[in-house]
Amino acid sequence: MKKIITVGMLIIAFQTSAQELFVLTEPASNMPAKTLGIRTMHSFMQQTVGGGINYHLMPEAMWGINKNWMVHLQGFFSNRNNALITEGGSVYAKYRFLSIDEVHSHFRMAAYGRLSKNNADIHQEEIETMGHNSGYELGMIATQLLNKVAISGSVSYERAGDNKPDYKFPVTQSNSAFNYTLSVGKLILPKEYKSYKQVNLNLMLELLGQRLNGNGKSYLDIAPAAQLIINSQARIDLAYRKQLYSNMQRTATDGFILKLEYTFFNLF
Amino acid sequence: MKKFILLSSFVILSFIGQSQIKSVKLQASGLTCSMCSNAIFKSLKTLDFVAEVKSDIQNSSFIIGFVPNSKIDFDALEKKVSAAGFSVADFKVTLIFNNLAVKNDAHVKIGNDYFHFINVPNQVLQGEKTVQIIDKKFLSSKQFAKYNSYTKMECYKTGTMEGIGRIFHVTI
Repeated sequence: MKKIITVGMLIIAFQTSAQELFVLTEPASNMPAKTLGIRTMHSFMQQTVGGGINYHLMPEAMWGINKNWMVHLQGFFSNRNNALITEGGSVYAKYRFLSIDEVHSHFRMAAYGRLSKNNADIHQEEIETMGHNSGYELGMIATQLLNKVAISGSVSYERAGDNKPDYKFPVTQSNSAFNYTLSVGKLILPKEYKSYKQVNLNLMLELLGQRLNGNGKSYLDIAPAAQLIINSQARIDLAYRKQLYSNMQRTATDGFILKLEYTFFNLF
Repeated sequence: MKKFILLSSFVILSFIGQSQIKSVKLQASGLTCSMCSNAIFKSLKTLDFVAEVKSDIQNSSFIIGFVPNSKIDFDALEKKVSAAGFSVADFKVTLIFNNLAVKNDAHVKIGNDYFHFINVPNQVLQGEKTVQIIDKKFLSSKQFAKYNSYTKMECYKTGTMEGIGRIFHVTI
């Protein structure tokens, strides 16, 4: 209960004074048309049993097809079997279907889908099609930007299948889940914009929850993050993800996530 | 016959109105951060008739200068803002007029483009003046609805007129 109050207070604190390029979730806005983003995500998560570090490397290419559609291609690598091996990849597409723009503010909504392949062993009850399970995710996002603050929420349905060729999805586990996220971000620096060369600092706080449809088990994670935007073109994000509660079996819950991203504008 | 008179008047006006487009200042909406502003800035710069873009990140506004003697396309500018993921909230064109007579709720040709002045007193424009484009997508939908009440002509809603094509609706 104490934790929930703390989280609530943090959210209120953020609301009063962001930006929406969140570290662990996607906003309803898309990348500009004809723009390519290249990103690498490194996650260093502590194993709940044994205390080792699970390292996942997820390189990603993002493409703004037009103002409403964008696609991502992502690869999954991890060191779970000691050496860094390729585990799979995913295709993600997002369609922005609502935009209400005003000067220094917007409200946007988007629908998205992800299709993933993964060959790793299925070692937890948590369903995560980004880097762990083969399967798909379908969701909706709503994002409000108001001056320097952004708040974004999403809901999604996620379904896991067999991690072919070697690992069947365990029949004893729930193979589908309902996910929900709430993210807030605030632009801290610069106080006043003078040039594209100024380094931007954004602080963010994200809540990520999942409920397994088959058995009602759930978890809720919190992830504070800091983000630097350099030259109005490159991003360095650092987040710390921590489990607030869980009654499902998860292998690695807490740890650091580092994301590096570069945007190539108007490639074609 | 009506069409003939209208067309003739355009021809006559085009001789009188040897006016030149100097620059455009547009304000974009839907953004705060410099990365978003940079997306618009880079998008605008890809147009071949654009010579330079000066941006004011704080106010999400851009001053655009043009290549001399090039064909300036206002719609292309608006499309670049929208392709970057944002909207145009305000679009002002600075022109240098040479004794151009304009009437309220009437069409006039300036350079290669046709303009329809709305909510203005009848006057002769001389020297450097700034006009605001009030077509759909060039301002907020709320303001578009406001200006719609100043004209009965259908061209305001469509932005086009039979036999002419694109008409830009402006106010001063």
